[in-house]
Amino acid sequence: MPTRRHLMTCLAAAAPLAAFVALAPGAWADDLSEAKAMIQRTGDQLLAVVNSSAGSREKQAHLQQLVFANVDVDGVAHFVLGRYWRQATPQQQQEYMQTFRQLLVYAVTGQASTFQGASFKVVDAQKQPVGMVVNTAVNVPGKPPTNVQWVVAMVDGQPKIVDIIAEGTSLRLTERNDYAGVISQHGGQIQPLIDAMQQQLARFKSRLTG
Amino acid sequence: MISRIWTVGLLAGLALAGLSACATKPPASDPAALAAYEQTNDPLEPLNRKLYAVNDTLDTYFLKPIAQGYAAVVPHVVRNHIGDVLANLHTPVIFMNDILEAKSRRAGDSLVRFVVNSTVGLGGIFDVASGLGYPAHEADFGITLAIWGVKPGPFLYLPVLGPSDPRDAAGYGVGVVSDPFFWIGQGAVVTALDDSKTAVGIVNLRAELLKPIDEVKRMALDPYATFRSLYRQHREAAIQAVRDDHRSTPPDWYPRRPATGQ
Repeated sequence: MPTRRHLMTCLAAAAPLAAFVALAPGAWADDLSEAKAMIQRTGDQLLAVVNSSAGSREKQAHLQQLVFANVDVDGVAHFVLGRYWRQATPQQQQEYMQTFRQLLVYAVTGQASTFQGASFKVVDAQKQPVGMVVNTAVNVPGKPPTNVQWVVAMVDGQPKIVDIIAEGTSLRLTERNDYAGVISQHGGQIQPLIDAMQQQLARFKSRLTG
Repeated sequence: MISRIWTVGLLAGLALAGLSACATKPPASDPAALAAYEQTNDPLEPLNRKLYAVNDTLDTYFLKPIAQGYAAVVPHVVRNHIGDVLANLHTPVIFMNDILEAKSRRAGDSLVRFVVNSTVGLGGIFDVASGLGYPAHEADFGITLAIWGVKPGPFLYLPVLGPSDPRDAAGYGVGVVSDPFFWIGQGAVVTALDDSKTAVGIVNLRAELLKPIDEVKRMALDPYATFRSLYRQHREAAIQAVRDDHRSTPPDWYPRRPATGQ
């Protein structure tokens, strides 16, 4: 009786899942406090780098270290390419990943200067459908205070940033729509996107040295 | 006032012209592409992209240089106060939409803001109300329509006005007409003052957005798609903020009836 066996398999699979769900609330509370601590730490370090007197190259190196240690870079890269990931050849996937990692660092570096003199405070953290959301209040001198939300997920037991939501706009969703725009403008081809990313990276690199 | 009527006519003409320039819908055999197409909801994309290019050129060679010159001459603090004055003059429209959204606490906030900032705030130069716990919030007729259950419809890129959709475009039209200043256009002096208020508002806003827009253009590989995404997300968040405002009608300081412990 294949259907009954199927049912039994499902039940057998569901039992540990149910146990996991039962345990989850406690686990979530721990994860939430870990996520909050990570955001506090990362935010403090970020502002320390931004407000330091180091040169732009040195700052770039510090920020790169911060990004790779605290952001789920590969997860974000996957999310941003979305349904096109499976369509890409293994070589394209590799090229995309490499370029994305470097571009992300330049994106953070470019944004970082706008947080000159800023202060930041972790408000609270909640479990939401997108993941754990840590709410922070960012104060930049001369501007009204803004709410920035950090979406955190546990990756290999470590809390990692997967998205930043500022004033209701998600960074990774905007990026996904940006990249999808390039792909759809080129008849669904992925290579033009990778080319455009590499050109942009070259432009950022030359500007930093120049 | 006449220029506004022209704008409305121009928009209607473009809406008709747009119907002939549609994006091709993916076939049903490609469900992933079809889902993405429906989610993007931009059937007029080819026309919208052209209008984006026109607006971008106008901005680069006309509006942005003016805003840069203005920002170079007018200090940041003064620009903020100009923004506060203009926001204060616009508060009656916000108040009206708070009422139409049936959000009485928001309407109360707007009323307090208008009274306090117009008087203690010296005609809106100082935003005293924010410091007193009555911060500014967003409200316009597009948001009101959304609260009433009207769907946004397909994405539209309007000449001069920028990203929109049928709901927000209708909301914009109602917003212009519902502004008390629209109706006090009697005599050349009042009209001139009104027009300069509009012009200063646009330049002041563009000056405020110099850095953010440059940053989007620097990072985006497809600025059109990026602005479309940002616009939609921002509107959705503004609508959600209204929906999530469940503050009870009597304010905190209002004496409550003591709990009956019979």
